Order: sequence, then C-alpha cells, then structure tokens
Amino acid sequence: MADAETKSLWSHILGEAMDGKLKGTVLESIASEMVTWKAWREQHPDSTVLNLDRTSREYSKEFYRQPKQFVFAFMVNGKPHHCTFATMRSRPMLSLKIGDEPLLLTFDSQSTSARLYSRRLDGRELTFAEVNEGRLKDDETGSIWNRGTGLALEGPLKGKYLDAKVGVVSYTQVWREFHPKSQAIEAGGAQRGAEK
Amino acid sequence: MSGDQARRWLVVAVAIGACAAIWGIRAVGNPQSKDRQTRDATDPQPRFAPQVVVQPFPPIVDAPVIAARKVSSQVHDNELVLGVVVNGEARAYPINMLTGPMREIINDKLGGRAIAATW
Repeated sequence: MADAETKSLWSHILGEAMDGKLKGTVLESIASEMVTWKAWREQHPDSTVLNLDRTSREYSKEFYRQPKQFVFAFMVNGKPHHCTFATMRSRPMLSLKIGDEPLLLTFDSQSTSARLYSRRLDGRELTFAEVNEGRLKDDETGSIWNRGTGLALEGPLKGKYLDAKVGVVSYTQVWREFHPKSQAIEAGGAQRGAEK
Repeated sequence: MSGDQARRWLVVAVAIGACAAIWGIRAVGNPQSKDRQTRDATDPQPRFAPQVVVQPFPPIVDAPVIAARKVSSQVHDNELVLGVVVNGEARAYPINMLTGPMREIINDKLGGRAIAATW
C-alpha cells in the first residue's frame, strides 16, 4: 500500500510503513471478522454494506475447502500465534491462557467465522462452556452469551460485551513467512513453535 | 525458496497489490500509533527489499454503501464479507467487491473513525 499524503510504502500484512517519511509507523488494527453475509446481517441487522459493482470472482465458504491452508492469527503481548481452520473446525471453542492473558477462540462452521475474545471482564476471569448453537455460558455467573458478538444475553452480566481481540484470516504459509516464530494453537489448547 | 527469499517476494507482491494474503481493518486516523498488533515485537527490523514498486492506483474514498435491509441481489447469502463494528456502527465489505488490484483498499469512515478495509 502507499498513502497519498506522503507516498510512504506500507506492508498491509504488518500494517507498518516500510519506506518513506512514515517509515516505522504502525497503524492500529481493528477487530473484524470474515463471515458469511447471511450470518453478518442476522447478527447486525442495522449494518450497512459496501455497494460497488460486483466482480466475477465468488468467495464463499468453499474458499476454505483446504482448511489447513488457512489460519486465524493474532498477537498476544507482541508475540504471534495462529490456529488453522482445520483445528478450529475440530475444536470450535478453545479456552486459552497465553502468558497471563485468558483468551477464548471460537469458530462457527456454518458462517466460517472465527472470533477471539478476552476471558477477562471487569477484572474477573471467566470460564466458558458451549450450551447450544451459538450460545456460551460462563461458570462464574451462569450468564448466557452470544458467541458471534460476545454480548451477554441473559443472567447477571446481561448487556456486557466481551472484549473482542484483533485477529486476521491469512494463508498459513504467508503468516509463517512473516512470523516464523509464530506459536501454533493445537486442539488440546497447547501451543508449540512453528514447524520447520 | 528460502524464508528470506519468500518473504522478500511476498512484500513485493503486497506492494503491487497482486497477492490477496491477509484481510483486515485498520484505523488510519492515528498514524502515529506504535501499537504492534500484527507485527512481531521480537522482530524489530523486518527486511524490505522490493524489486518492483508500481505507481499507486487512485485511492478509493466515498465508496457507496447501502443498508443491509435494502440488499437484494448485490450480496449473496453464502458469500464471505469482512465485517466490522466501530463505536456501535456495523459495516460489511463483501470480498467479491474487494477483488481486483484497483479496489483492494477502501478508505472509509465508520463510527466517527477513519478506517481502511484491506484485502
């Protein structure tokens, strides 16, 4: 990427200006999700949507038909981590603790949406279990949560949101090239270094 | 291809907008941010050696949007979108519309913030 103002050259994978006046500057990443349109409009009925002319290329769930080739990737305390779509499919809810960061990685096979949340809310650590389609329950208060939005729907924490963390969908190979030390999240919740 | 070679090649590919490698939303209102959310803090000086840098395409600003409720055939149910919520405002960017080298970056405003959706 290049910015029109200074013509600096940016890596969109790193979000960082690599050359030019802004070299070394890093853009803030915002939590977003890759999800089917049906699931998005149902979760966010008041959403707006980009309306450019359609192109000939169709990107549907079929895009992920080789789930090992895709990762959901994120940084924790400056260190890269990734989880393949194959792992997330087999374990749609992974409770993680990386360093002292309690995290929840969720995946919905229908909408192919991966989300990363903090399990810490107002200073308290929460432990989640899946109760039914798209709903989570925390052990500590018994509140019921929407997995897709991180909003508590019922119980003592009703109306609260889990803090959604930044994660990106990438080709596995690309993420590894940029982050050779990235830790792989495995189905057991364990992490290990990137394969050689 | 060694790691270094591959990495160089990938940076070049991104620079010419020919490689759909990663998808996300970035805030562009605060370009002085040093908050590294996708870059490894233990890798302070990534190699950057582009072999070809093309002239940038005209930036896309003021791209049209419509309400989700008014969508009929513009977006298909099973296709992937990049969705983001900023300060309570939700917007979706259909990947189908971000394809092609001239429209892989949408400069936008949402929830009072300047953002870029990138493909």
